Order: sequence, then C-alpha cells, then structure tokens
Amino acid sequence: MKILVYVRQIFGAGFNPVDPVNKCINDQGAWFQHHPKDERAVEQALRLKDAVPGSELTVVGIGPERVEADLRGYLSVGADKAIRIWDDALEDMQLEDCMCATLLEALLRSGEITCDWLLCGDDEMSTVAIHLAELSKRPLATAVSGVASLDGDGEGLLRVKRRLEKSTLTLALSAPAIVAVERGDALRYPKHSDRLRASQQDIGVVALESLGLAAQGLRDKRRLQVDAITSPKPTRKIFPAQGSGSSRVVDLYLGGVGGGGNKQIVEDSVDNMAELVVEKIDRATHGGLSS
Amino acid sequence: MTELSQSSAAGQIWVVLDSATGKADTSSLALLSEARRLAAYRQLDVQAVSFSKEQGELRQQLQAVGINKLLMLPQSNSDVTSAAALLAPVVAERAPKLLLFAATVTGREIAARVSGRTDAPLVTCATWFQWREDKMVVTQSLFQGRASQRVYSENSATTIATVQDKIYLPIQAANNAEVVVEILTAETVEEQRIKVLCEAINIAAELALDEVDVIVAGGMGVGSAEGFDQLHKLATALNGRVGASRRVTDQGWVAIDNLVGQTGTVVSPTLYIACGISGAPQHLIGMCDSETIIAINTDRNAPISQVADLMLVGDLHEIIPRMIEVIEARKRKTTQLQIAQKEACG
Repeated sequence: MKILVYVRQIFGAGFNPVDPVNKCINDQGAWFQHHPKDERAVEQALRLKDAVPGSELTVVGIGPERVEADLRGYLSVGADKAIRIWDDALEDMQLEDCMCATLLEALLRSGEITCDWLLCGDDEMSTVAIHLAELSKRPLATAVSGVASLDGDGEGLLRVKRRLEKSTLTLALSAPAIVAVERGDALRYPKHSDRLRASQQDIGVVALESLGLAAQGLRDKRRLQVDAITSPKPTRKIFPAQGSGSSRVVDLYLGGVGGGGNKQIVEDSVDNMAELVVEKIDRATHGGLSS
Repeated sequence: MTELSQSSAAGQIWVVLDSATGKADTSSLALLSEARRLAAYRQLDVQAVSFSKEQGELRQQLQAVGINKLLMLPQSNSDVTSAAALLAPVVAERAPKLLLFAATVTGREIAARVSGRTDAPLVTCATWFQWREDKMVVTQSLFQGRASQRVYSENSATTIATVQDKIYLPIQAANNAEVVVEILTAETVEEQRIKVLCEAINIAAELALDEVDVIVAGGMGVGSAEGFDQLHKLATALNGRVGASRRVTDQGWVAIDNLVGQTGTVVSPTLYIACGISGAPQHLIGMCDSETIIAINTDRNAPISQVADLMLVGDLHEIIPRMIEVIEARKRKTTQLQIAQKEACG
C-alpha cells in the first residue's frame, strides 16, 4: 500500500504575522510548526502503515527550504520518504488552495510518485482536498475521524468514519482515493535516534518544470485580490453586550458595568415550574423538543 | 414551473440552504437575513437554493425571513458531487453576484466543488461582507484566527463564500409576498464510488463537552454520585451531556472530563442547565457565554441567579424527574402528530 500525506507548515504559536503599517503578512523572524490537523492525518497514515506490512508512507510539502524542518519531523516519526514542491518562481505568490491542489495533481500525474491513498489534514477553512478531488476525479471523504483497512492488505478498500454536524457516516472507500482527516489521535513522539536519522535523510525537491506546469499558468489560477490583512478584533469583549451572561458576571464581580438582562426568578409548585422550564428549553433549542 | 427572467440573475445573491428534509436549518435562514441586508444596498434580489425533493416547510420559512424566490434543484441522493454537478452549470449560466453557503461539512464541499467547476473564487470562513462600489469585499479569518484578510475578485462575476454558524442571526421580516418557486430538473451522471456502510446520529454523550448544544451541569447541591443519575437522564432526554463543577469532580461523582469552568472546559452551548450549582466565579467564567442559562437551586440568592435567564427556586430532586416526564410526554405527542400527518398524506 502506498500512502501520500500532504502536510502544511503554519506560523508558530504566539507569532503575530501581521504587519500593521503596510497591512500585509510579515514573516520576518517567524517560527513555524506542524499544522495540528496534518499531524492527525500523519498519525492515521502511520497506523495504516503499521497494520499493513510493506506499506510505504511519503509526506509532501509545498514551500521554501524552511518546510524541510517540517518534513523531517514527520520522517522522524516513521514516514519513509519526503518530497518538497518548490520553485523560485513561486516565491512571491500567495498560494490559494486551488493552486496547491493543482501542484499536487500535477505531482500525481507526473509519475514522480504513485499512491493508493492520499491523506491530508482537514479543517473548516481548508479546501485543498476538495479541489484535488475535483481535478483528479478521485473519490473523497472529508471531516474524517477514523480510518481502518477493510481487506487486511489495505490495497483496495478502506473503512472511513466521517463526522458530520448531526451524524457520523461509515464509508467504504476504494483506492485510489483522498481522505481529509479532521479528528483522531495525536501524533506519536519520535525517538532521539530517529530524529538523528531523519536529519540526514534526503528530501527530493520537485520543480514546476518537472511537473509540467508554468509559473504564469499557475499565477493565472489566482482569483482573489487581497485588499488588506489586519489583526482580528479581540473576541473577548471588555464590556460585554448588555443582557448577555458575561455582562451579568461583570455586574456581579466588578460592580455594575454590564446590563441587568432579562432574568426571571420563579418560585412555584413543582408541576408549574417543570412546565415553565420545558417551555423555555423548547424555545432555547429553537423547537428542539417539538421536531 | 415558473419562469423567471434569467437576465436579472446577475444582480442576485443566492443562498444555498441546508435543507435535505424540506426544512431549512437556522444557519441557512440567518444567511438569508444577511443576504437581504447586503442586497438592500444595491437593489438586488435574494434567491434561496435548495437540493430538497419536496418543498415541505420551505415556503413558510422563507416568507418569515422576507425571501420570495426559491430555486429547487431536486437531488435523488444526498451525494455532494451530484449536488455540485446540479448547481455548477446554473451558477455558470446565471452568474449570481454572491453565492453563500453555511460552513457545514457538506456546504464547504459543495462550495469548493462549484468553485472548481465554474472558476468562481471561493472565500472560506467569511466573517463580514461589504460593498465597495460594485465589488463584494469579503473578510475572512486567516492563520487559525491570528489575522483577518479582506479579499475581492477583480474579474469574476460570482464570488462564493462559506459562513460559519452563529455569526448571523435569522431576522423576521414583514414581507408577506408569495414565494415564487422555480424547479430545475437535470440528469446527473456522476459516478458513485463511495459506499455508505452505515449512518448513526451523533450521540452527545460521545462528543466533547465544547461540541454539544445542551449541557446539564450539576454542583454540590446534587448531593451524591447517585443524584447524578437524574441529571444523566435529563441530558439524554435533551440529547446533551452532563457537566459538573470542580468540587463534584474532586469528589469523584463524575469524571474529570465533565468539568466546566476556568480549570476545566470553557463552554458556550445553546442551553446550559445548572442544577445545584451556586456559581463560583471560576465556574461562571466557564459557562457565562451560553445562549440560555437555566438554574435550579434552593437558594434564591445564589450568585448563579445573577447570570441565569431563568432561575427556579426549589429542590432539584423534585423538579428534574417532573421535567423529564413533561419532556417525554411532549416528545410522545410530537411523534403521534407526525405519524398522524404521514397517514393523512399517504
């Protein structure tokens, strides 16, 4: 079984990437880390690899040399090979998800690597896996919370659990397919000796030319123009909205900054109170009890 | 089938409803309200799009939020690929200005697939929309919420966006115009390569504390580990989970992963029922952002009464069993009504 996992690098915890003057990204002095969802995808892939002897796990990243540190991290926990897609022509391009998917699809098509299963991390923002499924016409499962091999050798069939908002689906997926992992166990820790081995391993760099792509063609795929990038407004309000639960806590402990709210205190017979509270529950859950 | 003038679609905002069962989700209705606000600035029309086979309650729901156009693309299965195959050609042909999806798992997938097929740009997790002349400028969050980005499209007629739940609220509108329904049927020849082995409803008890909609929390007032049985029953009846205060988990009455508060899980469910919890500041900080808070306590002056929307003064061991009875009775009545309706229809 051949597994490919697409991994991304994100800004390290605590680093603020926003340049407030020019309203753009400033990555000078930045530190980077694994994308937490990609870690889960790699862990799922490692478990598949452990279950099926003779499997090969490759991690692929898109980005400049700094991405190699990320890839080496995954090599140290058990990935067999790592590939980095990069070209100097990509230097000043902000890659949209559909552009990353184009690069990955070109990699699959170029014959540089073959894979039965392509895994990647999934969250509510990421659409790389979906664009890739559209381009490569491979079946796709998003929001995956568990993967297991159905036929023992894992060549043809995987059992995949998808967690939707209201239900959980169990699917049988046939190779070749794409699996976007959202939940699952945390990535295992590497041994020190494996870290040393990974630090010396070769990482192949694939340029645009060997993928049969032109920089301009890729640039034309960008469909959005960036107006400005700013720091988000703080979500924790210092003075919460009048009448909200938080305003009442402020009221209680800081002395009357928030609002009184619409609180109602009832002391009545048990039957009346039960009727009243169930009515309130029904309204609070938007008719959840009567549908 | 009603004919709509197709040339006017270019000046439209479309909202794709999450409505598999012929009933639109609250998040979709909230999006319709936001679409109506945006449309008002540019005298545009808002149209709802549904993949549902039957209209069900859609007409009434749309009327309530002031929308009077509905495009139905009846889908024979619930597969996202065929939904995208139905929607993409219509979007390409009529080029609505903005196409909105709720950021659910399926909503995001259909949005991305339509974006791929029509070359329209996609903005995921949009938080704000504004017009700049005739361009739609969309704000989205970046880098796990550490930055926000304003983007627009220079040359595409359509912009597609997914919007997360609870950013907007449905707003009732005084517009009683009849809903005009257009039904487009098309054959999709998307090959099915994924086999669904089984589908199970998510049981709240198996979800994490911050993922559930209803939490029934107990404090020292519950009295004992056995006292929590009633809370578990109430939580099951409401498809929620049991939470607890610090002292309860220290006593070992329930497991530590049920702990709500500053040192446990900070939660903001739709409904939080605090039973026998007095409301220490550490606990209140962990739950005060819940949409509705109901407290049951014998002490009417407990600090929780300051935070609760509804405070019942009484013994929780008497009130909760009665509440469970009332809820069960209600559920039975609803089921009987549904069966009667089905019999009347069929």
